[in-house]
Amino acid sequence: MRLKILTVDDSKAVRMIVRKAFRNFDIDILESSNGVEGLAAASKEGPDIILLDVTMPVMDGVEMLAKLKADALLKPIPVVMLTAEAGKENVLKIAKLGIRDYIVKPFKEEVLVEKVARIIDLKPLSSEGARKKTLKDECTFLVVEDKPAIIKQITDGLSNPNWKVHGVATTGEAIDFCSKKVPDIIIISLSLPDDGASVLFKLLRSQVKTKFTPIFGLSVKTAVAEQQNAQQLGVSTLITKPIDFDDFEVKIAKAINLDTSEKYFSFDADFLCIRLPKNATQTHLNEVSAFMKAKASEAVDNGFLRVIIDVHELTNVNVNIIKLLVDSMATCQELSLKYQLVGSPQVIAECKNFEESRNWTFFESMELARATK
Amino acid sequence: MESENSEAFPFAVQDVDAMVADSAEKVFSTMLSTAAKPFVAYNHGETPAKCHPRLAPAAEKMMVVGMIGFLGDIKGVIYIYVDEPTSITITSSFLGLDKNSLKDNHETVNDALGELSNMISGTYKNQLCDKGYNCRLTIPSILRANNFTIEPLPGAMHRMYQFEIFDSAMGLELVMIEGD
Repeated sequence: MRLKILTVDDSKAVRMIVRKAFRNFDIDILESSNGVEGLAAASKEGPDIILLDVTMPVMDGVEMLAKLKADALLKPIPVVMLTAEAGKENVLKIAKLGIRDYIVKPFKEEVLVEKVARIIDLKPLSSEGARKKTLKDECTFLVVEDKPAIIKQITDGLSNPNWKVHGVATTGEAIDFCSKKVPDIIIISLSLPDDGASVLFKLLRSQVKTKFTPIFGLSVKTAVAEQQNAQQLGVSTLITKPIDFDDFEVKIAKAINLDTSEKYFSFDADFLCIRLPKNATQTHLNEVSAFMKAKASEAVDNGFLRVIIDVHELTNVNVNIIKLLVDSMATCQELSLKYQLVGSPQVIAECKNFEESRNWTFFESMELARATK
Repeated sequence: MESENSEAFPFAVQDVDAMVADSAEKVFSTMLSTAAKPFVAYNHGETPAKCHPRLAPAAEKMMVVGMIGFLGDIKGVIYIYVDEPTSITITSSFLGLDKNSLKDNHETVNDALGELSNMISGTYKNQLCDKGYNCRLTIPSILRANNFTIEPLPGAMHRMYQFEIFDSAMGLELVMIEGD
């Protein structure tokens, strides 16, 4: 069951700011605009925490707090005051009624989140709660590396133009960056001076905003000891130098639960197209295999009757590719989808070398396949 | 420079000015990530040394005014006003909303200006409390008007301020008097 925050404030602006502050967390925000509504919502919904203003019409926050604490059922709900009222005398009076914390307006959203996180177990939105990111969505990667050449290499090496790499050289700069914007992934060089990687990792994990952000360790392939230390710390993934960018991108996709299907699957006017890349590695094949059933079902759902499997770019054909194609054809048959193959003369020739693909019929171009229904 | 009506007040004008400037600055830097730079401060009835062009008297210019009172050992009212385009800029920055979505959306803009007034007045009032003058805030209200003036209260301190915010300006008037 999702946690609930009840915010009781007569200002719609404050309620909007609270909602904004918690937008990346798996939490329901309930709203009331005065103490009477707040008490009713608390009784009905049983929130896990209440954020309470003081000066409100109908019933103010002090009266609501007093009534809440006089009710045996509602008394255990932790209350955090969120108010412009901060005169010592008034604060003491309110504190005596029983509150967990006191936030004075104006306030930073991060402070609000940090204080609430000390009371309830805030979790970031799960992939089910948030729309899955696709390759078209912008992602930000923070690279903490004191060697500018490596930052440049990563910036140049990642193929997706929607992926923005921000490089910093020190842990201080990294913390500063994360306080302003939480990146999708943080990549830390394990060879930062003064055990910087370990210090930074612990700091990031201690902060609510970055508690669940995937952190990659970046290390030279042969630096086994520092890689072991990083794994013991709990670093999500290790990237070794020299960087294999195909592998790096797959790890990125996995870490942020990225929908990479559009790399291989696209819907045309009346067919689903599956396209294998030039140098298809086992990783690519695994990705295609993982998306195959869902995409074929989506095609059926959209009223499509055929699938074109385009392998003309392949530079070589191996047994794993043949196996993937056999499985894909079987999936199409299960769903009564007609399939057509497109291959280059080289691919067609290489397919003759395998028992399963010896008799396959190929179109030599997409245009021909598209025209033949 | 103190006017006649502020001589009897328990605080020096400089202290009041510092508290007001601190309150505006704190709210703008925390909630809107921008500065509220003091532009001019003067007593009601005096001619200011300068006037920000965005707050120059213009009978037909619509202003959005946030008003909030405080009651107790010291009582008073703080008025905060900006022109309409500035009220939209403030709301957009305050709530992270697109400016276009706020045109003609008086409810949201009024609410944001009311809360901003609440925060500035609250921060100011809390400083009074810390000096031993206990008081509490009233609920903010908003009006939209052109060619408005705030009349002085006999025996009250009435200070007028202008702040540079974004590429515009915000006016603030403070009227206060010792409580009964």
